[in-house]
Amino acid sequence: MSKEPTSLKLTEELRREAERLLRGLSIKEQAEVLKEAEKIVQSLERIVEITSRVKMA
Amino acid sequence: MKVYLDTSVIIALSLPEDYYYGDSELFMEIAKRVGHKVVVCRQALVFDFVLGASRKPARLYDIPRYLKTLEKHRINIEDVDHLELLKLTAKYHEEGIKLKLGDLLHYAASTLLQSDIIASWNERDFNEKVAIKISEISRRMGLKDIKATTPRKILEGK
Repeated sequence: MSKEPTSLKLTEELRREAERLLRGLSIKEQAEVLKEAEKIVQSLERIVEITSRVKMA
Repeated sequence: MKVYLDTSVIIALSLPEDYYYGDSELFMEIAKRVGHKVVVCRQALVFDFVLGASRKPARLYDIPRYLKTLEKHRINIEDVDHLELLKLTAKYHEEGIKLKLGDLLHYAASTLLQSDIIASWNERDFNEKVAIKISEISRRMGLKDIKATTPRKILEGK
């Protein structure tokens, strides 16, 4: 079975969705949204850090 | 050489079943060996992985996998100013570069991070022709030129 270029399809899909979300917003508003979105990644990083620490113990 | 990785390469490195997984792994191995500095932009990744998951929030739970990939390959996550990034993205758009916002955002991020080249599996949008147009605009603004190609072509020295 040949492998699929999932990476390409997924990247395209994610970008389409992100663009849809920001469409119509000013640059300042887009920057605000991006800053808020960054907090989600920080939370996920923290969750991974805590849970992997517990699993290691 | 400072190499900026597009999200398509990060995803490929995270999915062993992906068509580009093997070449992406090989690229990282050789890039490390020859001393290339490999980077991504935090804000551009957030754009793809968080805003891109707006309709399918379950995809947010894939983010730790991508973060692990960055850690495994010691890929540096660098920051740019949010507003500066979006302004440069808009500038490329206004100047007539016909790409999706997210693609332009990665061109802007790699330029602001003063990278030499963008490595992407999306050859349709990240190629020499587009990079020349992007660089012309960047140069007028006192910013660095950028090149764009696939990881495979970087390995082949093309």
